[in-house]
Amino acid sequence: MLRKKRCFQKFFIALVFVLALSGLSLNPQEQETRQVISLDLKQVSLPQLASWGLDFLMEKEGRLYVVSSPQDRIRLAGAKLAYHPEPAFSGRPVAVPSSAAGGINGDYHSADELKTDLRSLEAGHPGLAKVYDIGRSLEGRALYALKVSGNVGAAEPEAQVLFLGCHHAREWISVEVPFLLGKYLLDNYLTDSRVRDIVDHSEVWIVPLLNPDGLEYSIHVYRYWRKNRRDNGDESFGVDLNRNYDYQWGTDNLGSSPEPDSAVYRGRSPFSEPEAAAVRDLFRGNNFQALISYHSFSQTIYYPWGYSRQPVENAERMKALAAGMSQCIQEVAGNVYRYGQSSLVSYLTNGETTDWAFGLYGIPAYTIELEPGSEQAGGFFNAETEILPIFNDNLPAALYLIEDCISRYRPPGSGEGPSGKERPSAAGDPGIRSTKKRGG
Amino acid sequence: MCKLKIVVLLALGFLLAWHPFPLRGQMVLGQYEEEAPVRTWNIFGPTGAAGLSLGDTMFTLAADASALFTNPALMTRLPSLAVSLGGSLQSADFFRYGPVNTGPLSTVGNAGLITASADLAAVSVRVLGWSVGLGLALSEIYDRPEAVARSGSPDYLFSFSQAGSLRTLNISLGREIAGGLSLGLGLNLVSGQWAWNLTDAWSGISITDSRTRSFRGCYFNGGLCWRASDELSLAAVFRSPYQRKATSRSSLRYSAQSADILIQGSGEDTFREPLVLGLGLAWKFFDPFLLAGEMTYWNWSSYRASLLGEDMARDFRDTWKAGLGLEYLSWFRLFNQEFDFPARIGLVYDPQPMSSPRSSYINFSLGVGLYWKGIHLDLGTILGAENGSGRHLTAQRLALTLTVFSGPRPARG
Repeated sequence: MLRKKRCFQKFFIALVFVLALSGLSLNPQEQETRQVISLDLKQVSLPQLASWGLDFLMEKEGRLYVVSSPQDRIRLAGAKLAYHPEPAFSGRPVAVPSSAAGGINGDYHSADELKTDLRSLEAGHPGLAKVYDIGRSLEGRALYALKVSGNVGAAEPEAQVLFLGCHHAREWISVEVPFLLGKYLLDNYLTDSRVRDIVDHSEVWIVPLLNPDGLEYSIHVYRYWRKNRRDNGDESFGVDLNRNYDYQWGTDNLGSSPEPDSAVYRGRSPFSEPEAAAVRDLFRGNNFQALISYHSFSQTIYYPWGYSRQPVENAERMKALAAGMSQCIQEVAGNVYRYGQSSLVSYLTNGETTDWAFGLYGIPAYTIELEPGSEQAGGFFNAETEILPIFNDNLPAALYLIEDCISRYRPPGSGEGPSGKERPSAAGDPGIRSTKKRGG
Repeated sequence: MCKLKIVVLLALGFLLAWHPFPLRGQMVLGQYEEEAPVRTWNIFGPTGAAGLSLGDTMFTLAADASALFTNPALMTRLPSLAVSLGGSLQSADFFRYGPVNTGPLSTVGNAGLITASADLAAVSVRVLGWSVGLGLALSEIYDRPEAVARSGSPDYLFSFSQAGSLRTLNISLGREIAGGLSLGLGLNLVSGQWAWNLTDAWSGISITDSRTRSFRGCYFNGGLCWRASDELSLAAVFRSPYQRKATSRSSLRYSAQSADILIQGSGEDTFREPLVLGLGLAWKFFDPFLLAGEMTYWNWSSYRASLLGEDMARDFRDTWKAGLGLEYLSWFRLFNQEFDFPARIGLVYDPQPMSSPRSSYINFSLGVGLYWKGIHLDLGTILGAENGSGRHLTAQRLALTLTVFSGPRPARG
């Protein structure tokens, strides 16, 4: 009897989750018939189209993109206005791109494959996706950021959330999860109202691969390589990018190492590595409200501090969000992600990304260590068939964080909070620090 | 020499060359690229011991039947039948290759490697004014020194090995057309294997990374040789650019108590090999001395490597290789028989194609021959010292070539 009850509970939770993701504001028939079309801007009158209540998506290369209902299309045809269907906006379930398949790394992305797929997302979703070259790795590979937002070409007063992947080369799954998040948002923009709300009211920035040189080395030479490919000049290679940020950099030799051959070598100076400096520069040009940096493994959500075992103060919202994300993950398939202060749940780290983001910008910042839970269960390896399940586990947590940021965001000059350079106070968390940039 | 002996000799040579047994090989620095051949990137074709000792020259002098791999026109300068068999011993230093000295594993100093192989079997026959050649050679070796690190506490093992080779089967045709001018063209079919194995194991967990590659491809080589006078010969040669293709397989496995994860891949690799052009001369400037010189252009900037469909970064530049050799021909009488006794020395400048670090070998060569009637035995060696990497790599090759001629004594050059 008890077993039956648990089964029912699981079924109910799954049902609620599926419904939540499937877009409640559109009925199924509407989802099937809504279609993105484009019109030649020279042949249409914008005020006229606006008066018909057409849902404008964006303008690109002389064409106006519109989300149209069957009635809209009938009306356009009646007015003898030519339009083209835009099948790239078909909306579909997220899937591992076949372009990544094959090769030594199987379904995982190499640096080149990721570049191709990011460009493909950009080309397939004009107006919603834009790829930025945010820097170069030591070996000259481009570091790409994918921005997902309605009217993506414009800098709008919207909540900005950053997702980072692959500080550490061997953590291949940490490339896939943020990449699939971007793909999910874009593929489901039309058919999922929740996704649409998120994309229309935020700027989701995704840097899936911060360490392309290390990843290539991990694919082609040594699978367990962690650092970047800095030639340290003493026959050792690599700096741990996740120890190279300038907040509490090298504060002790426990949380990072001054020894070049160490796996946690922090580099000669803060931001000595162009890959970490690219993240710094991305922050300088934006006003992020939250950050997730994906890693593997251990199924844990860490928040600052990493550099000190002193409990983090004035961060109730950050702690609450960690608990919320953990719950989101568990509700998908029952996988438990622990959460807690990095230095207390795990080990000391300094010069680390989330300490820097929280310490300098005061934003909630998380390291999410993806599956599996232990070395004996796979360690830094995940089977190719695990890519989608791990992404699916983590998707609700990412959406939850973005939505929280959207709900608390106050545009500059709104009078309801600080200007865009400052974090609006979070309910129950007055102590969250200002996001005013302080030269980080 | 009776026909049966020639047939047996040929069969033995082809058998040995088809089943090479390299013990170990060498590397050019700056290249932990896995497809780098042992000793140098600039391998036009197999060189017999005579050419090797004469500054690695091979375009103008018809010393043995290995000429068909480089300048088939030289077959017209050989007697009506020439059969050559060769073997070589190579040793070299490596520093950076695979995972060694590139990250996970360091060595104290350079790692050494020695290979031995029967690497040449070739025959040239002249019929009705046409020279026809058939040859098989071990043209490139991809071995690396094996690396093993082990510790008992905790139980830890790291091992790496790489081995491979490329064979070339050559069919050539040559003819002297007029006025001491000869032309020749060869078709070369290449095939070979390559294998990589890496194991990283600790505390009941193991990672194994195994890859294999089977090569195939074909290209043309050809050239002309012009005897300008009794003292001077000139030659020009080419090797066509070609795509060396490979069927590739990979298997990456993680084994632990609660996990057995396997990622397998297969696909096509492509290596776009460069155009090679060469000029050579042989000059009997003062009897009994002979001077041989060569310049070879390698269009390495066009080289491309694509592994399992993914382009690999190879920042290569074009190179010019130059060689110069001097031969002194003497003779002596023993047991009432007359023997020729050539002695040779040479110098070779051999720049490697990597743009960074720029690296080149300065090679010194020397060798001797012992010729009795139609049997020629040549022994040659080349010793190279590398400059540019800061690792002072060295490379050596010792070659022995036996050539049996039938017909009049070959015209040299």
